[in-house]
Amino acid sequence: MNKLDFMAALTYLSDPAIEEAEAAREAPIKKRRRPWLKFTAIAACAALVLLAGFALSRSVHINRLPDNTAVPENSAEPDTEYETPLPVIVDGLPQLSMPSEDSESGGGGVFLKNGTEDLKGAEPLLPADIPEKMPVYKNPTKFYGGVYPDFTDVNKIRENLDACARAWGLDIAELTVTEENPFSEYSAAELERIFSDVYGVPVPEGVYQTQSMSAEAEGISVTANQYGATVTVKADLPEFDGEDGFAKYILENYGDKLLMSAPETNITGGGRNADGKQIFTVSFYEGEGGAAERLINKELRSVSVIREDSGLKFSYSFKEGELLGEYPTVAADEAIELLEQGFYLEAAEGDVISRENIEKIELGYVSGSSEYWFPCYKIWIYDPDGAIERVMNMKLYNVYTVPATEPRYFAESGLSTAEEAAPLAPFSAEDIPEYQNAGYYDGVMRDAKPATSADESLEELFSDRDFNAQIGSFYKVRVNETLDGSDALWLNGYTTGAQDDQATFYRATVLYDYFAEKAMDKDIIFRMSGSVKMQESGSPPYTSGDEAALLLFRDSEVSDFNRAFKCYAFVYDVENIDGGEYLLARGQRVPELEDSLTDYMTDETASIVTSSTYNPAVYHGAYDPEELAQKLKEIVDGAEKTPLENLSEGRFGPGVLGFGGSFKEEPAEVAALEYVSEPIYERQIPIDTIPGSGTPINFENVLNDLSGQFSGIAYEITNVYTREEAENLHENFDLPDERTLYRAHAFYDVLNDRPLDYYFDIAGWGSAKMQEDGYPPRAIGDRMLSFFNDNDREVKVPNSNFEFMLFEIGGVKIAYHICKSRIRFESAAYPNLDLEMAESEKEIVTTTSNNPIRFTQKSTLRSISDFMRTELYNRGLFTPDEPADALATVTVVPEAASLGDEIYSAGSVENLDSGNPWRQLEISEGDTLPVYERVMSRNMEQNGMIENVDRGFMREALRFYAIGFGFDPDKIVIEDNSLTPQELEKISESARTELPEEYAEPTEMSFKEGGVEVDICVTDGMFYRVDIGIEKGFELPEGAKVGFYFGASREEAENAEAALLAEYEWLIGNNDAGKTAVNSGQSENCFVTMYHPCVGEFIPYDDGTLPETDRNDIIKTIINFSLNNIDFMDDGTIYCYGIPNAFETQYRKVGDYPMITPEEALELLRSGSYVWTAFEDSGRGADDVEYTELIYGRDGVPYYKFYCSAEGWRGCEAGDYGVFYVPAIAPEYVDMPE
Amino acid sequence: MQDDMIVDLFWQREEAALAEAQNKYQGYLSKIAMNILADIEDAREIVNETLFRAWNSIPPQRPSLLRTYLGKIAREISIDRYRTVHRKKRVASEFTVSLDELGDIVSDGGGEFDGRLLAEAVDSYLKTVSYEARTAFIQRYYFADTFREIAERQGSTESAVKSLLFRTRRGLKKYLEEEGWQI
Repeated sequence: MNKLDFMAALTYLSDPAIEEAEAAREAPIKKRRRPWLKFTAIAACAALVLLAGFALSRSVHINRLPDNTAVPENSAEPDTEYETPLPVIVDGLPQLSMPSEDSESGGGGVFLKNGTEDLKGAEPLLPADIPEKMPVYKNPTKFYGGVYPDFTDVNKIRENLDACARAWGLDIAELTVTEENPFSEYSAAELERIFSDVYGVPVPEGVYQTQSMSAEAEGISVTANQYGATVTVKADLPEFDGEDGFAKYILENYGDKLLMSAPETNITGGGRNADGKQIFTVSFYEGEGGAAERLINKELRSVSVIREDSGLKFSYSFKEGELLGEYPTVAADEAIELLEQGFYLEAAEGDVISRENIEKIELGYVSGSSEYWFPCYKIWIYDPDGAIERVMNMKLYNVYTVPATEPRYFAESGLSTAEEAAPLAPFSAEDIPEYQNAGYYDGVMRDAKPATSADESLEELFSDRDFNAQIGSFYKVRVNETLDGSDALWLNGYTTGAQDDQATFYRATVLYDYFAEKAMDKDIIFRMSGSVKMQESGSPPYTSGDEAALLLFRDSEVSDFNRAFKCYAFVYDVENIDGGEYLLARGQRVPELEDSLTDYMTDETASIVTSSTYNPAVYHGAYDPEELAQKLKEIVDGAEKTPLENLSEGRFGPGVLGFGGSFKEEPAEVAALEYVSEPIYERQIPIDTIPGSGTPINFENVLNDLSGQFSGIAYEITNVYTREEAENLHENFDLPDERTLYRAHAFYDVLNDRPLDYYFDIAGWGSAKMQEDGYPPRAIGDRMLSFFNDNDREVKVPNSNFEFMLFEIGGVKIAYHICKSRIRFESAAYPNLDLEMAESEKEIVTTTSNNPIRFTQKSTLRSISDFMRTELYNRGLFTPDEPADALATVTVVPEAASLGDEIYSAGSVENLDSGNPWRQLEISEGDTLPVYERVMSRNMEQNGMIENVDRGFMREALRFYAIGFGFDPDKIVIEDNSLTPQELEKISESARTELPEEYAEPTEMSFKEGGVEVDICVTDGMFYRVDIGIEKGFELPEGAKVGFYFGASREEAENAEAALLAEYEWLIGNNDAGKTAVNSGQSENCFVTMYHPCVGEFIPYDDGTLPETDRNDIIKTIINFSLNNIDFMDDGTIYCYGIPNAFETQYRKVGDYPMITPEEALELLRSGSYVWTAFEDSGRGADDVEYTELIYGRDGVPYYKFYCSAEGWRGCEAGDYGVFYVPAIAPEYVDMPE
Repeated sequence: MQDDMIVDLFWQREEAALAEAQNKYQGYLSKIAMNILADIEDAREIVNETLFRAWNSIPPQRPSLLRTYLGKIAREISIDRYRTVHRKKRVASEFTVSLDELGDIVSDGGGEFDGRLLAEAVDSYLKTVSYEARTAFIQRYYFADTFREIAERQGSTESAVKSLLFRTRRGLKKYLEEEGWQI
């Protein structure tokens, strides 16, 4: 076998493996290439971070703690568990995703002889005329790999077949129909392997279903699938005058077979094949309707006709997707900008995106097998490839497809993050079939209250209120945002009440004054009856975009902020029905208004399902707005008005609806309706006394009423017991109805900050009974954080005030506070204690119930742990364990400890001696070494990106290093290409006002001066990395101190140092990767180590955890020596890489651990307790050690590094050395890998 | 046109199948051929021959993944062409560079072997490595993509990709040896 044979054999790799790699090649987001820097641009990192976040948000059950939870790096990587993603909502519309490929173009360029003038094609809608909104459809079938369907609509296939058969005059009843499924040729095992390996899902049902049907009669054959049908007919065809003549012939002779009332001709194509022949396609589409409708017809519902030797083939497209809504569009010039930013479907080969070479733009739809069908721009760009033009005598054009739907609706745009998106999950019984469907509308209103009969007049209904006299105004409003209930509680002046959970708070815009009959544009906040809790009673909440009519009281019109929310209205939904606007009235019927009711009220209108919940609102009637307004106005005008000053405050109490604040003309009055901004922590932290009620209590009182000692445990539920099982297990424990018994695995002691590993039974708050109050039972695999107060019983009973559900999002452990009112923290000591929550994050459906768990607060696990530890400690409710016991076990991650495939071609053992000062460290009994852990992530294998890239930090780090290299601070221009346009604008604004020099031209995240560029990015899931490139020959500024060596030996290094940069201080080191490819012929790479002030200090950087002592100075030097290094490329270009940031944010000190001696470490090596790199199978070991040093691994753990000769191992020569690592701390604190 | 429709055309012996397949996959197939042969004329011929072979093999074949199916044919033909051309001159393609890297797996010795069995073994090994390693390996040694292309897709660096591929090759060699392959 030779290399070529081997390469040829790879042709037979399995299809799934190739498809997987191909999918990765065609990742939808293009990263902007940078001409010089070889390292990943920040934009790419950020995009991946956002993608990771997105993936997490869609599939919450995948993203559990602990550390080994996989975080998909990008969308091409399959999830590892079989989960149904939850829909994500962005501004009231479902979030979209880009297809992994442009299935229409197939990835090739188009050859044109004379440029785009060769092209033909109908354009019913020109780019310049694109409407502000266009419809987007969801493909009813998801195709894996563009081929395998998850579902096939067999009825639809038959419908399509019948429709075409009828059109061609066939008798349906007489047809013999054959059903076909090409996937039946695959074995079940093969399908299982494909789906498991490539797509990470079970084999979908659709693969086993009928894919097509065919029938033949009277010389006509019909084959149909769920998207269309093909009809083949025999025909003697005349000669045609080009494609136009052919199209004309079809219309004249077969126009009635096209299933269209006004067929329009569409001749597309014009590109040439390799032989120079032009290729056209003739098709027809329905010409009825407006321009946008005709475009959709052309793209989704057309008939193409192909000439054959014996006749004609008609291909009917009947694509019927689920209409998701009308999505805002972007103009053509914006699409070009998006293209330049890399937001387009992978299509043509090559990366020549040049605005000046754009020659044609047309509108179309992305359809095919993609998940969503959305409008798009097809942008034709001339690719001046000289070779193609010369050899083929044709011009090459690349066609880029850019969504015409605003990018924020696409997960891949990076503008629609999980934080902003809204996975408020509309749930259905089908989604979770095993669930007892107690809380879901399935056609039967379980708790519906019949409309009250009209036997009470307004006077009687409001006997204690002067109703007639107090009606103020009647407005039409559009809901913009649902306010969190706890947020609303802080709206100034509002008094909470017992019925708060039956109403919802909204921000809205007043559109129209029905009384004054004039349009308005005012922002208000109001509280309206109807909530999630009330949805089964016919009063679901509104959602963004819903319109309603409010009847407001006079005092609300003049109320000041201390008297907000004092108004009342009936609840009317504004609906357009049959072209007219109606007010559908919920709730109480009113005798005075009976006469105004229209006749329009059908069963349908009585059960309209709102977009916020699948439970319908129940109405008692429909009103014409004008007539109702007139009637109400008559009542108002006929009543004697009570002077406003006599209206008493709070008379209507809670439970009524209204709006907050004054409603005068001055916008400032409305603007004052902002949340109270002063800190309220320390004063009052509300937590529900009644779960789900929204009633706040004083947080301090909760803790003050407790005594004893608290514990805080993070655990994973491993079993959910039935009540019967619970009784049998714990006879003496009376399990309350509101709780459920679980088996749980404790894995983290949050108060003592140490790992745990034991099982216990816990009676958690939440049960089937409580599910509709936001406390459904948990599921196996759920991870929780609970606090326990003095209950060392056989069944632990957590304090229900302090329960959190844990997730890992982008490598950060997040704790969601369950169902309690949001706690407002303003404490700077815990910046991540009260993270902003999207609406989408506030409810998550578990697998045990289709009722969601409600979350009211979001923190990092670290912050909530630190906060609770401090609070409980200060109140005497928690006493830490003894420090000696508090040392956590250090988990060794080989990939993090090792620096790669380490073989050192030192030439001789003497050359291994370096500037590492470790031998100055005297080792005595009781000596310790600091151990650190990465705050971001500790598992390189996950390769997950850090979720929250702190750009402020990056800029600071960049500046730090730039100055360290001696750059003039005044000349540093920091550019950033990873920012969103909004962020760029923000920075620009900042630049104009505060930092004009630094942020003058924010386009890329790098600084440039002379021949040096610096790039900072998040890499390998571990830390912020600073990459510094220095052009060959560039003279470093005076004062910069750089040490390095070329080649493999100390001698060479010294020579290089002397020759090139003798004036700089340097330390020779051998702590870097050595030759990464000693066997691969790539040994040209040179490696250097540097340690000098210009790259800054490693941890502990002024974090106070390593006091200033002589011994600690040595340790600091060892750390710096170990982890600061430079890489010289073989062309002489310098790359500093792997420079850990100089800030404490990435590492956190775990503790001071007992140190072991080199001799003790050797014994551990001998016993097999070591971390290996490439060298493990060498047969070498402790007896072969020729050189030793102490270094810190990138995991923040100190190691003894033992060098053994590698001579004879895999082609290594004398003077080559392989290494083993042994942690330099007491082994009882080390968790070594298997 | 969707793949299944194109395959239908092949099955129905419609010559439109060739035009549709060429229209859709010319770029894809040309890229495979160009990466191996670095010659646009050769690439054109490879695309034509690929479609010709597809015409002769569908039916009886009914590929579920048309792109992959055509890509394999194109790759096979390209490597055959490479053998011929390489005897006369060094082909300055990315494939040649990637071929050199296989030196630490293949010793240019040994006897006859079954390429399909070897591919199965490689397949099995690749299932044991990480997603990044697997896709990088196939992109490099199947598609002959450059380090830079792979690095950009992975959000990584060229040196990291080189290192990753080195480890993967090394692991593959060990795996094949353990499986009894004399390479």
